[in-house]
Amino acid sequence: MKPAPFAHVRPATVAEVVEALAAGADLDGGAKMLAGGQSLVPLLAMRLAAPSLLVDLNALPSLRGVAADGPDAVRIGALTRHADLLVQPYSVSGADLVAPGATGGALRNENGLTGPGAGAGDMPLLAEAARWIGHTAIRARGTFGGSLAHADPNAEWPAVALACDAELAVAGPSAERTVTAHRFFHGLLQTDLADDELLTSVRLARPRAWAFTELARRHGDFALVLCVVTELDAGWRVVLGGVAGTPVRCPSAEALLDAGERHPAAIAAAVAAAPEAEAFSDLHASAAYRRAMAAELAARALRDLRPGPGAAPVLGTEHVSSAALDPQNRAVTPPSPSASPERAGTLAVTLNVNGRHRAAACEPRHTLADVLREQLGLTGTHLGCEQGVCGACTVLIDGEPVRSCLTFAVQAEGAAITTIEGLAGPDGALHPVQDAFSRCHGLQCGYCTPGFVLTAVHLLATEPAPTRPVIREALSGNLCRCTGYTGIVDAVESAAGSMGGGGAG
Amino acid sequence: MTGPATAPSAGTSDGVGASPRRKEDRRLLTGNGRFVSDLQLPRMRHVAFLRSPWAHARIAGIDASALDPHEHPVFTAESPGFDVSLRALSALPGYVTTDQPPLARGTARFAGEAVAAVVADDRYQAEDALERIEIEWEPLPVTVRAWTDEALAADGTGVGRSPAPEPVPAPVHPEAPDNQLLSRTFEAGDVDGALAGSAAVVRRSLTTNRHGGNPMEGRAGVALYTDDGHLTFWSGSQVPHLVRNLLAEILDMPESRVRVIAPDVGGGFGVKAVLYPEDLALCLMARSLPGTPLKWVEDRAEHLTAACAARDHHYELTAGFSADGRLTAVAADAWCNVGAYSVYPWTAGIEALMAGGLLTGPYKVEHYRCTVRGITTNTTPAGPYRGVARPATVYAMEALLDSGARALGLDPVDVRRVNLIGPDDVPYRLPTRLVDDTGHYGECLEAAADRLDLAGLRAEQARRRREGGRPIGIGIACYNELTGLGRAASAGPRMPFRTGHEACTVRVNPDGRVLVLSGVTSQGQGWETTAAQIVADAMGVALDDVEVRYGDTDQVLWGFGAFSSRQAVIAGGAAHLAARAVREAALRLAAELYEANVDDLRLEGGRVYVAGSPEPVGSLADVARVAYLESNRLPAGFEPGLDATRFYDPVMGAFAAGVQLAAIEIDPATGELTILRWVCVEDAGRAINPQIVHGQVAGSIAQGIGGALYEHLVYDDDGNLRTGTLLDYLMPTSAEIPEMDIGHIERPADNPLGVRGVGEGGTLGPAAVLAGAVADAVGIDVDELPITPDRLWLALQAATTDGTSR
Repeated sequence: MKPAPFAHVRPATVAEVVEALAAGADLDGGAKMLAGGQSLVPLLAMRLAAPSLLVDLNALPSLRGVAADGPDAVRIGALTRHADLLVQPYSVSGADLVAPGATGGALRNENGLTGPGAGAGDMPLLAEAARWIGHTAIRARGTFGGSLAHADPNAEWPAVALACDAELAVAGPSAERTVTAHRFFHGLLQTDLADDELLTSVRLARPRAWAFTELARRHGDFALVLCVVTELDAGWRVVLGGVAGTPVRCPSAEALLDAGERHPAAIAAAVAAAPEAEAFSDLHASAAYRRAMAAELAARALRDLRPGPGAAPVLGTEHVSSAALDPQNRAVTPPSPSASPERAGTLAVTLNVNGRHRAAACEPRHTLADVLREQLGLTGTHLGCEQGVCGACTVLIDGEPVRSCLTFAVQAEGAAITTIEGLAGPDGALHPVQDAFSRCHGLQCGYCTPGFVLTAVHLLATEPAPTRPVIREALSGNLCRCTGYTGIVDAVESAAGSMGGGGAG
Repeated sequence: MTGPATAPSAGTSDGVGASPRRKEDRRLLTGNGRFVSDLQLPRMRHVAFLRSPWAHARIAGIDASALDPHEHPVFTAESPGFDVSLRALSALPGYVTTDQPPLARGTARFAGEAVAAVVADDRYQAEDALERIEIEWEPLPVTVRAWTDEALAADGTGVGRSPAPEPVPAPVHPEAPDNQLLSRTFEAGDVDGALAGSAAVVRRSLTTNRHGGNPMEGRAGVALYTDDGHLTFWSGSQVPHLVRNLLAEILDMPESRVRVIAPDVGGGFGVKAVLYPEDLALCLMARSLPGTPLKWVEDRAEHLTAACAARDHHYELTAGFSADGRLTAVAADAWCNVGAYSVYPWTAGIEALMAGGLLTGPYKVEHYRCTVRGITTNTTPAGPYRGVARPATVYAMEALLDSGARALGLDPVDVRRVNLIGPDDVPYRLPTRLVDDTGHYGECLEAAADRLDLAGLRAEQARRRREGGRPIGIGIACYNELTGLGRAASAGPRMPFRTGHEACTVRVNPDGRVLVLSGVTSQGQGWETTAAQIVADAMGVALDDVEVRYGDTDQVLWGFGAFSSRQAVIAGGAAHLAARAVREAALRLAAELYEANVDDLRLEGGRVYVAGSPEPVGSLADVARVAYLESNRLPAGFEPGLDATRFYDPVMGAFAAGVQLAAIEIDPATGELTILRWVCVEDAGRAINPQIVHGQVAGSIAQGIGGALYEHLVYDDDGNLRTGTLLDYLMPTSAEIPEMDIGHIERPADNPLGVRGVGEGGTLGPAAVLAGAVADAVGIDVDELPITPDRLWLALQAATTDGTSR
């Protein structure tokens, strides 16, 4: 499972992206945009997609962030990571996203603390939805805009966008245009975007009330069915995901809500009867089940309606971006990838791994995992699926857990990479997490272990004293086939204790 | 055979009975593991396999002319040397022997079968090259299911007399026109008479779901053939000596020129106890390219489509009960889907014969008849997977007992109590002539019920039924894990070899430290540590002074490897015997050197003590130095050196008792099932390393839960695998697996260490427990696995509509 060859270009401006897309359109395999890569790279690895050119959007920092856009809306940059939306108030400023003259602006002041008036743009619905997306490593890389552009109907953001009357800003060869969410989603993995257009930012109306409910087979899986209910100035929205090729609204249920009906059973009945809830069957659920669950989730949403920001005490706690907490506790500058010209064939790449600069010769298609293993001899990073599911290949990039099978080595230039080989002290002393894994029998065959250890190191850096359920949730992006997880959870709990429940070693 | 509840503890803090840190941990925790996929050798090139997109198709032509044969050598069934096959042999009457070629020859029999292989400088380029090979296919009719609706409805089905299958239009192998590769009827007593005289007769019809081991490391191999005629094969194998033996035979090479090395292996679970066609192909390719190491690492897509799966079975079952709940007879027909090939060397009988041989589990049954069939289909071959068939048969047996209890209005736990083999019954001869040597099932059951707080949960269940609230249910599984099979009960169906024994060499080096060369292997079971504990104890040396090696056929005399929960019993026995022999030799020499009576000497912590004196008179290092370096001091009649090799064969084997109980809660609105509590109590004999035993039980329960609730290899009617990624093949994560309460009663078995195997037992319970718990909660019989929210919700809807819910 290795991608076919492609050329890689990393433009620094939206105009350069559009230019690259236009140039790529003439190539045999066309061009594809690479944002977080969490859906695209598995398709490349399986060779279900084989573009000639990959246009890497990760050097467009101006597209990452969240900002208030007027009093009743937020604007989210297309490259905002899922994790950025998980914790509010937002730590990523999207000041650049909002046109000059618009009210609102950055949600954080310079020192990263919530200042007077900050948080006015918060939107707890986004944090709740983000919580359901994949796992820590997926949320660290996957992007808001990438999810919308991929248009998986079982994903969270498309439904949220539809429920918040999203307006999507699209850049292309001609002037930037805006398209509503209603018109953006055409069908399964089909959108209104032309081959030479990219999503730049999305404006979401902030609901006065909202609820988000979802059913998935396992924690972090794509939804079997999900339901988003919002009350906007323009009226109520009831949106279902996972029943059709796109997220769908349920006008009959919305009309009832607009008319003042709040009884969950009444809304559920409307959803159950709605033609929009005509569902499909697949491996994981039948159409009948999906339709019934859409109704059930709508009822639960009604029972779980929450007020929008301002009323709920979601603000006031100081949160620090997890990116700022790497295991070494060093101050971290956010990755600032620079633009690169189109590169193909074998390239000279320098990677900063475990504090050393290492030179490698690789093609753009070579994953970070393969370059670490095959070229740098760092074979502690293991490949278990090359689909971004098992977590065996997890490494830390600037302190964040990342799937190295879904990251190309060329993307990791300039970042600080920590692999399992870099965790023990210079004297060979095991990191407290490594030590606890041994003490608590948190490993058997040891193949998944490096990914678990690094994920746990990140967890304890962001949450020094997690409970067992929190540990279980945080590690659920990593598969272990030997231990039944008991010893692993014991180990992380024990490491938290031995690390004093505060600050990573 | 009954011993004290806790085995006598060893004299040392890290010997048998203690849980010292594992010797393998440090390298695995620091990224210094040595997995096959990590291996890099000079001149190494990489292999990728082109796999059939069709489940059944004739190969009309293969065109690789677009590739430069020097840059990208391509191999097919027509390549020189590839006219050999894997032929899994069995002396079972009626068994049909079939060929499995290293690369599909003429016909591809399952989607994912390797058809061609290509060599390149890295895996990326190898996969590029695959795209330039063209194959012309002629599709054939496809068989996916191992049973037909007609067979399930036929006279005699369900009481062990199902008729033989009819010939099919496009059989998978011409040798088997009806696709049946084997059938066997187990029969004891008078089933028909016993059923006729029963107070209640219940029938169940159950289907289990195909799933597989999916170790986190896929299969992997590096083959190097040097032009002096030596083959070295690094393989993530559970059975390196078997692989050497089989490769030498098939390649017609002296065994002394074939070396198989299994280094660190990232999980096995049975899946890697097989010699695969890819392994053979890799070695054949290496022989064609002398001096070039060839590496193949299986990716997850390949694993899901081409590595052995298991548990694709159907059971038609009948059981009779007396009015007090005693089983009067059990009768069954079973169909096991063996996939497209008879897996080498275990044969297509591996699951079917285990199913028929152990269906009755730990329950006393005198009258028994069961016909099992192994049916070949156009799906991935079925093979050994942790628990082999018994997760399905325990599910079947417990379903019968639950149905019987319900029919008679008895408490389901009471029905187990009256039927379990007890301490007074052992040795108990099962109706299939296997001998159960434990009998501690009842004790496990009572302990598990206490730990679960069964009485409290029953009260809560009744309260919810009365007052409303989500229904809760309790499920039960009692099982006997057949472990450490000796020659009389040896694993596998009458194959041309018997896996009852293991060799172990214990060597004292000149510095007095100990090297152990063990025949079994380890894929996470911690054998490096437990073998050292056994030897340290038996010798009287410190754990740190014992080094354990395994997995290299050039280092170790002989071993069958790791499967059937046999390491502790058989290899542990061999290690113990070898260590005692070396200890005796060392003390005999010490007696001469220190002029003491040998009976007065003892070895402790590597030092030699004379009875009555607190100070040591010498050390093992002193003795070893004489044995190796100072022959002038060797007494007459003493050979230099200090080592011993011993084989051990337990002849019968040791049953491990186990009981699992769980409480679940069901959300009727969504069909979601939440595990509230999970309890397991096992008698695994004396625990060498309790922490490792605990880990084996927890890990195997988790795999069992995966198989019961999540994991399913689904084929469409054309034989395409629809769950070919880990986004669709769902393995449970830490968020799905519950906290487990695992208890141990340690009843020593009748072998040198008093141990029983523990690797598989945990997998045996969960399907039965969860299915039983659903029935207990909402009155719906679970007849098909896995239990998914969709299926459960649909069943609840149907029950509400029909009013059939109890």
